[in-house]
Amino acid sequence: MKYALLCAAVLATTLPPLCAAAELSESDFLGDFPVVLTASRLMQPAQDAPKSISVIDRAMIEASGFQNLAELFQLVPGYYVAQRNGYTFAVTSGLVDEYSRQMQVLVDGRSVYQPTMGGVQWDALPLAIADIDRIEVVHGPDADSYGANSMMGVINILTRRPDEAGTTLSVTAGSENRRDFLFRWAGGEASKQRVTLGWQQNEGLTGLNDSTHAPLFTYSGDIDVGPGRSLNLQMGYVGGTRGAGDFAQYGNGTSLPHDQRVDSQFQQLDYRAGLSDGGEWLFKAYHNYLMDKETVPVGPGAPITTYHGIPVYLLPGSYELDLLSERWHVETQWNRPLNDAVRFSLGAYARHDAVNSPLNYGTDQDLVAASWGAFSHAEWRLAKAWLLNAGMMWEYHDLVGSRVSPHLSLSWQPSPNHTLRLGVARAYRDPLEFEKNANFALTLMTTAGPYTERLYGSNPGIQPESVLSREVAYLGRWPEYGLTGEARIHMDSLGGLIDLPPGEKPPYHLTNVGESLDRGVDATLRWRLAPHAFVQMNYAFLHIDTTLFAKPYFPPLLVSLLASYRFDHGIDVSLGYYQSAALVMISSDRPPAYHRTNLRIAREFKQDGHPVRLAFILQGLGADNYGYNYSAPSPARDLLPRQALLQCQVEF
Amino acid sequence: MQLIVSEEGGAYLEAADAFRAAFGATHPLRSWSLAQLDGAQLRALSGEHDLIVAIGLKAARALAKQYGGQAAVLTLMLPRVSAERLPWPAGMPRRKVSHVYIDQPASRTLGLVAAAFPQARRVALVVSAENAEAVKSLQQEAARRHLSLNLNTVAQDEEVAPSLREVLPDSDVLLLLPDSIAIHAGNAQNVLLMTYRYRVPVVGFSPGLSKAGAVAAVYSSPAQIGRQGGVMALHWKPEYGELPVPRDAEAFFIAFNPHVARSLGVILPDLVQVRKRLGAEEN
Repeated sequence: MKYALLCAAVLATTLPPLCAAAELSESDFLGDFPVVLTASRLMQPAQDAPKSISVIDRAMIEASGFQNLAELFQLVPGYYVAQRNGYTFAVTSGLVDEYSRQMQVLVDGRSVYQPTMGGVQWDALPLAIADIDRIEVVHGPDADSYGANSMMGVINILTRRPDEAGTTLSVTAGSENRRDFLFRWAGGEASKQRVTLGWQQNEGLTGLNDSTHAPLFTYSGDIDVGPGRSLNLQMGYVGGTRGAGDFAQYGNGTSLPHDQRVDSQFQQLDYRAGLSDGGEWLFKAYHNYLMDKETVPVGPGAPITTYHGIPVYLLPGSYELDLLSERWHVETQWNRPLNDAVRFSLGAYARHDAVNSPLNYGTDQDLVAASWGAFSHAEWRLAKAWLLNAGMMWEYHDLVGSRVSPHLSLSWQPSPNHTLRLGVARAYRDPLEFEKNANFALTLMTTAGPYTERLYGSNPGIQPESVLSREVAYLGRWPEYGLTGEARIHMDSLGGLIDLPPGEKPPYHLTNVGESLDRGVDATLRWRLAPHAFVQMNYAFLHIDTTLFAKPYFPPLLVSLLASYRFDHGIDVSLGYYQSAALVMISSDRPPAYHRTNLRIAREFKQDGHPVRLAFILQGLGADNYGYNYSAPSPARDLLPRQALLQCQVEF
Repeated sequence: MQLIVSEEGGAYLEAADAFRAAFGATHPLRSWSLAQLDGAQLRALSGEHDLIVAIGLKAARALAKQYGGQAAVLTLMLPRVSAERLPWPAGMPRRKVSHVYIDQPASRTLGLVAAAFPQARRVALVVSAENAEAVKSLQQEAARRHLSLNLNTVAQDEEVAPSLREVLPDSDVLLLLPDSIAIHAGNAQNVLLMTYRYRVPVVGFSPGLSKAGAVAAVYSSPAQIGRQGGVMALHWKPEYGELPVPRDAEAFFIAFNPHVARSLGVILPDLVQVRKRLGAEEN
């Protein structure tokens, strides 16, 4: 931390005085302006939004130097990120578990939350970091806008519009034999199109079988459908193989090194029509498909059990570990201003989820669950300085029936630059197919004959998890100094938490076993000195009182800092520092405290008239262990992902 | 001849490249980045009977502060209001300094309003006192085009939102001028959202604003300004030592944001036709 603060101080002392900001310069004409936010389903500026929102913009994405999408969330206060191997990450806010079950993740409004195990398989998102325009992260429950599973927060990743015309070729090479290629083209006349083709490969982390070979294709097209209307079509694919399984010397041979095949794709349609009364009508439809296919080899390793005191070893063989999830979703929304003081939105959705995994569910049939819901949000300016936001979502889910998620917030804005907000919300998380209908049984051949391991069974009576969240937030802006800041104090009462009942022997039945009272503070301070210079500091403290049997389930302290400055000769220097206290995960893994420092040095110049950007990235300078898989044998738990990368990008 | 850029890379490199291309390889031209020069060197360079081209406000301001008394100075990409406040020594001959401004002339800005929104009659404008001169030009041009200007002047950031609430209900278009109080990176998001609420399209002054939500924008790129600077520099004769009068950028681009236009139900005319019409008006 001292090192990072020192570097930040050095950066700050080399910066020009801020009085320059008071005088108009060419940068006022050449710089980008922050784009509008879509925190709720109504477009609102941050100070009018009913919830706290963190924005990761392109400048931060580039300055961070992160190559894995999941790692970007270290730039959000109160978000914990840890790594299991070269491509598997845990991204959580609130209770930490590997599957991040209590957080909704959207890409352009499309839910990529997995109906199989919850959370997001980050390496299987058909999305290039270079295509991200910005990421909006809503803190606290947002189920009144985005439905069940938006229990502890919502991540909405917004991609760049296809009208940013140009052709870009980017190559990244470095540690772990990383070779990434990306080609982007965007253009068109009346209709604008964007195509991205990518190839990502690396050998993963030392000592693990976690290589990645991933082809990528994405398309986004704004189709011209006449005045007052817009139609956007998107599709994408990411596939290839990921290394999986443990080397024989580290395990009992139940999962020897092998390749996992990934086939992930989506199609999405967004239609928007302006209405003559000043309102607008929106329609969205999408389809997600994700198949992870694995033939897992087994063989002799450490004994898997003993029989009459004699060690039992696995005999060579294999089993299928396939996991399919598919989602169809349609929704419609109507936004309308009633008058100068009141705006509202009304909408509804219907969703069809199918999962299939003979090993996890004991059947080769698809497990299908339908859900639908209706939502409404209203923003009412009661007086010049008072703003009321109210929202509600009614939902029905095949697995658990119906429930209502309401939200209410009141903002006091004594001046346009200062907002104090009080909010209260209730939200739910629907049980996953695995939590309700698991039937995990595996039979393997051993030196003592067939051996059956029945790990998980079903729980037909399982209920949704719930949260009642209360918050006080302050949002301040000091434009004369280029400063914005936000602090949020929250108290969340969680009930019906789903986990393994203590003391139970296999097969385990996931059950509503726990309650929790979370009290915490999130804070952000951003100092924008010039178009290419900023400092962002994040701080989060969380205290959890829980009846679950291991504690504290979240690092009590998280700190991050990102500073970037453009020096002469077009040289950008960025420094990122990330620190987490130790914690206990729901899986009982115990990641220790860590700190990481990342450095990026980039230079922009022109070669034969083409803009070129060269970047050198060092990740994990002075890092501690960053992994979380502490029930795994070494080295799968001792991850020190230090990386040196060289990146070259040319625009044509 | 000397060329000094405020920073290397980005827009400054674009402008410098275009300047060199227009100026031609036959004339000796030495290029510097401001970081390479200390005060004494700036004084020495401007103490010669030479032409110095400064790209960007930082380079121009440093040169004005350290001016050595002899050289003619051409600045590129400065806003007019900042160019007029450069701290030249007293008694600096007026014709020794010239500029190609980054701002757009009133005729072009309101020409875009007329071409892109032919039905618009009432144009809202919220600015601070630093734009007083620009407002005068806009008022004259608006009168010529039979447009009415709903003008509000603000003195501090807090006044921007109430001013917009006052003018937007009675306006067909909001015109944004670069202004360190009325519109800047810190409040652009709020200003654009407010116009969206009032369903009033915005005409902006940069591609960044168009991307952020202005329906139309007119701007000159660094390369266009650099090219014009190169042509002006060609006309500088060492024996006379004087420069042509300061000018607005002659070449310009227009950007439309069709998505915001569609959301607002605005039917935009053909971009090429608008560009041609504005070009024809200026010729």
